[in-house]
Amino acid sequence: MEIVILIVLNSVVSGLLLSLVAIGFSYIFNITGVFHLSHAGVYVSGAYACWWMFMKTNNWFIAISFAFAVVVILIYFIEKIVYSPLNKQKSNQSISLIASMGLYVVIINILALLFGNENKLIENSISGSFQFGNFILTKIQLIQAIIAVLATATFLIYLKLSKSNLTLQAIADNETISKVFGINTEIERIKIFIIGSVLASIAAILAMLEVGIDPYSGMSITLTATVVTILVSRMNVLLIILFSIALTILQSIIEWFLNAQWKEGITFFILLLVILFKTEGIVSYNLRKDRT
Amino acid sequence: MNYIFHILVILEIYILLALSANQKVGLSGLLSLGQAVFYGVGAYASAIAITKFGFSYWLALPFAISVCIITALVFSLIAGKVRDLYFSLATLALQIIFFSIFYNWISVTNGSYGISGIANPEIFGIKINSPLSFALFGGVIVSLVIGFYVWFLKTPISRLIQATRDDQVAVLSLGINPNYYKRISIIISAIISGVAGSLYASYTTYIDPSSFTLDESILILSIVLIGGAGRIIGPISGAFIYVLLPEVLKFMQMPESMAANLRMILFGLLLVMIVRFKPKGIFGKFLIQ
Repeated sequence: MEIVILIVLNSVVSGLLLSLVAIGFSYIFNITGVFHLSHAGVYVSGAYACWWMFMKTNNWFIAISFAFAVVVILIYFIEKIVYSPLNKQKSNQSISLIASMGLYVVIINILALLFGNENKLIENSISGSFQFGNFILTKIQLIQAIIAVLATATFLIYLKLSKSNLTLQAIADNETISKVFGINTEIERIKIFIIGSVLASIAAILAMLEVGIDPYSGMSITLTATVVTILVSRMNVLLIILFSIALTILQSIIEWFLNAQWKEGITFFILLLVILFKTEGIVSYNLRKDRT
Repeated sequence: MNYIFHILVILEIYILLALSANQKVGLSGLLSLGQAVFYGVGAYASAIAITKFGFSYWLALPFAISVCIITALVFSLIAGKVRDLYFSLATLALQIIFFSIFYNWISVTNGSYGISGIANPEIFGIKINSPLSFALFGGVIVSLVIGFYVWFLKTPISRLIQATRDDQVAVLSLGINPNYYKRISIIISAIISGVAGSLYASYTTYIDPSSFTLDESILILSIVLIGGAGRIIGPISGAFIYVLLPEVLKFMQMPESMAANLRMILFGLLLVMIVRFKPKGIFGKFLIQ
């Protein structure tokens, strides 16, 4: 029983990190329609920028600020140079997916060229643990959970205060009509990409504290985030968090009883089942099923 | 000299993979992220047939093709039910699932240790085990596949496959089931990938799951998109660009460790630029929309 509680506890922390990536991915995908696979590249870029600056200055505030700046600049140029022109050409999702794959390849190979392929870890950055009865939670895990919750809450407050829900819904439904009604869709798109990317980079920095970072480590979590996005299928933050935690618990169980390598296979088997058999409930079936 | 023949063998394998991807992407308009699945299935089926069942290469090859056809049938039944981005996602899911199987079904695939000691092919008692003989052998296979496409592209089936790509509803209005032609396309593509996998396994005499990852699928797709989808020349030129790019970098005195990353950076940039400025690819006919 204790093991089960421990698995759940660890999964909740990992699930919160996954949910940050998934919220960012979902936010971008559901509004702009871009299947932003290079989210994985942006994720690792944030962590690398933080690691590099921390190694130079030994100051967390400077390192994290620098990471955010790098991510914002990177995603700004990605949107301006690649996604926005494709959007103006009325390119479909497959085109943006291909462009996104190209960007991902470029980003991770630049990082590999600059820093090498080996894992980068900030040794003993934060050590120690807390004991809750029979259960131990490391200080890093506690920080991860608290910051993930705070970041999600900030995002929710932003959505509420900025009253941008309707604007975003309008852009998602019909960008041209939105323009007619005076919405600056270009600015809104950039904001969406920046917010989504900053959320992913927070998750990346938090994950880096525990397990380090290498150029390829962003793809696995981004792929799992895409599964969460497809399962939830709409921009509902609470559902994304719930699905993220549920999926992480499932992955931990698979890891415990089978093998860590099966977890992605089984996660994507679930995605396949949902794409094929899930009817109207969570997802709009018409979008997916080839009725011809 | 052996190095040049080695490059030639790699080029031949990538030409086969690109032609197989072109069957799906260029002729059927199906953006597949799981092209490495059939490459892997072909390689593993050959390797297992040779090392575990004691088959010769010439028995292992039809065995590998049969396994690829069965896998493609299942694949097409699953992925054929969805379209557009969701087809790509279904193929992405299949790619991850098959990679997990290659990696974890240790009793069959030997997991991360891979399968070694895969015998080379023999023709009339002559063993094909040098880069030169493999380059010639691969050249014959590539010529056969290109020959097949020169013929196939003129057949009514090929035109129906392309019609399904261009206007599925119109095809349906003629009382033709487009899914049937998509299935044929997926099976043809799987057979060619399987042959490439079989050639790769017998050339390297060792395979492991790292050759059949999502990155490999993305790479194969990129080769087709850069060269141009829908015509024979497109995927072939894409494969030339991919395989010969590092050789150009070597001439520029680039260290090998950097050349690998730089090749991928240039390839990724080329992919983004092609999508942005020349969506049909360099020699392509079909525009992915």
